[in-house]
Amino acid sequence: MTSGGERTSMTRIVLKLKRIFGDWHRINRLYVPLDVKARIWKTWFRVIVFRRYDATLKTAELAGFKIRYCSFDSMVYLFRELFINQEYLFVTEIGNPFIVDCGSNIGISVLYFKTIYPECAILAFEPDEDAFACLEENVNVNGLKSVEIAKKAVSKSDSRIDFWYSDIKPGALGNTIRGTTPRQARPVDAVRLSNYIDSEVDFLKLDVEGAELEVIRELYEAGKLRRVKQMVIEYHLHMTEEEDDFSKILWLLEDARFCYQIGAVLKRPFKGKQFQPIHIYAYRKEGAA
Amino acid sequence: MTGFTYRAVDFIRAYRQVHGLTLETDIKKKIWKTWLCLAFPVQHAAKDNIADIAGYKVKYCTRQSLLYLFRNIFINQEYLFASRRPNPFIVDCGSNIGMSVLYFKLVYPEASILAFEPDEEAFACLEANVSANNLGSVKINKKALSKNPGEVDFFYYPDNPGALSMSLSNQRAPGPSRKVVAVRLSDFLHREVDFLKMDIEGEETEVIEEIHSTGKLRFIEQMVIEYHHQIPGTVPELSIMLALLEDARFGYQIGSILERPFKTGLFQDIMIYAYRKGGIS
Repeated sequence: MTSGGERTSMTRIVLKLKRIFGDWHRINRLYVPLDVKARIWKTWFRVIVFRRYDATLKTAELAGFKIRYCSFDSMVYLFRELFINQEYLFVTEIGNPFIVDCGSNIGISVLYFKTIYPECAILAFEPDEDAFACLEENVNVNGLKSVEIAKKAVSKSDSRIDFWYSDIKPGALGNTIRGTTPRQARPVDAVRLSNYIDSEVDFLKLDVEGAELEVIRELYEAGKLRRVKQMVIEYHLHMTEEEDDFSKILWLLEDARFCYQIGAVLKRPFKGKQFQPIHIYAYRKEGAA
Repeated sequence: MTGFTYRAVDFIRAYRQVHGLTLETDIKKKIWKTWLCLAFPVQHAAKDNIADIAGYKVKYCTRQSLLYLFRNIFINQEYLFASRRPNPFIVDCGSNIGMSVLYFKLVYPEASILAFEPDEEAFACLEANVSANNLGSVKINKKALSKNPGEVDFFYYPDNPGALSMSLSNQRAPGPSRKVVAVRLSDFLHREVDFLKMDIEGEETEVIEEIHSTGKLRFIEQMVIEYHHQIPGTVPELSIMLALLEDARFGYQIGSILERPFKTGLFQDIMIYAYRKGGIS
């Protein structure tokens, strides 16, 4: 008879194999330039499979970049989402697109955009103390050009607001300006995104942990939403159980003449009141700004 | 090689989907056996378009749409819901050949079902499948659902009988059309509905609006709506559907697949699972 402990370790091995098999399958069919693919393979073998990284200095080599991270697990998570699943892969004819990245965390998304469009210009926002320190170092150490970083939260007004974080997990991915769980808060500078948008934005990435509706509404009211050509919004459904207002952000997009596609995972059997991240990929329909 | 990996991953996924869920063991066995028979078909002449699906004799219009429905409903368990009682009352809008009816009866043998299907050929199969498998408490209606009752144009595919995208909207299906009878869903809702499934090819917003305006939407405890987003020639208006649900105090979860790299102008099937918050009124 197998004991419970053995079964658990067996399940763990099966899950690990499945994950490795899945990663391998996805990297294999990636449609990216060969040198980029080679760098992704290398990172996958070295860092994920063989765990080659410096745990004391918290550094690792990721897709040809030198990275300093806050937490190894969230770095691997971001690498999987961005480089292996290509979560933000957008197509543009412009060689040097202008990208606004709200919620950059330690800057894996900045490195990803620089990988697919080396000539791009990036404006990145990150309010978290620890994550911003890593972001700054990652931009400087890798000598990234035309990247501007701001230690600010994007919000509906220019002010000092509370930013909720967890001191056990520095730079955690769920840190937010919307205090929903009893965690610690510290004040950060908040700005209106519309102040930064004067020219055409080729791509806007918005992952601001619950503040997305107020940011999009602020852009809409300032008449700047039409300056954005394409955007991906990570919408957080059910930040609190009883709150269902996904229609509001979609209405703003529809009214500003955007079309959109939706991505979300629905679990079976159906279960309500579940927190759910929803990706909205929105793009401007042709017409004057 | 990639083709092989894809098939292997797909096979493992199907196995996990069938076996990972909270179904009874003999149901899982039946579904898995059918999947193996369909995935590795033995060469034989198909007789009268009849297949053995999870222990049921199923008459179908085309093998292609049968496989698609089987994959989505029985393997991916698209409509698996948790019921509070063993005999839920289920309303099934857009039943096609009745695979969803058979699935509900497999999971909840005591369920009573009210089904709607306006298409001539699909309805003939639905009727045959309900009577050949001795399904009790199933009522079928050869009607379309719309906010305006009466005779309406129904766009179908002459060379693809029982197609899955036949519609009252000419933008969804190019035509030709024939006349069918449309009814208002609210005229059929007189008691609490445990589960409502709606897949009516573009009419969903109007029908939900209709049952909301007559106060019948609150009769429904849980529902799954297949929302048809960006049907070519239409503007996006998912916000209207969601605002209706919010107004009637329903919570919801969303399911949809987003391709990478991002592509513009795509039609998408968006699954909306909605559940009533609070009591019936």
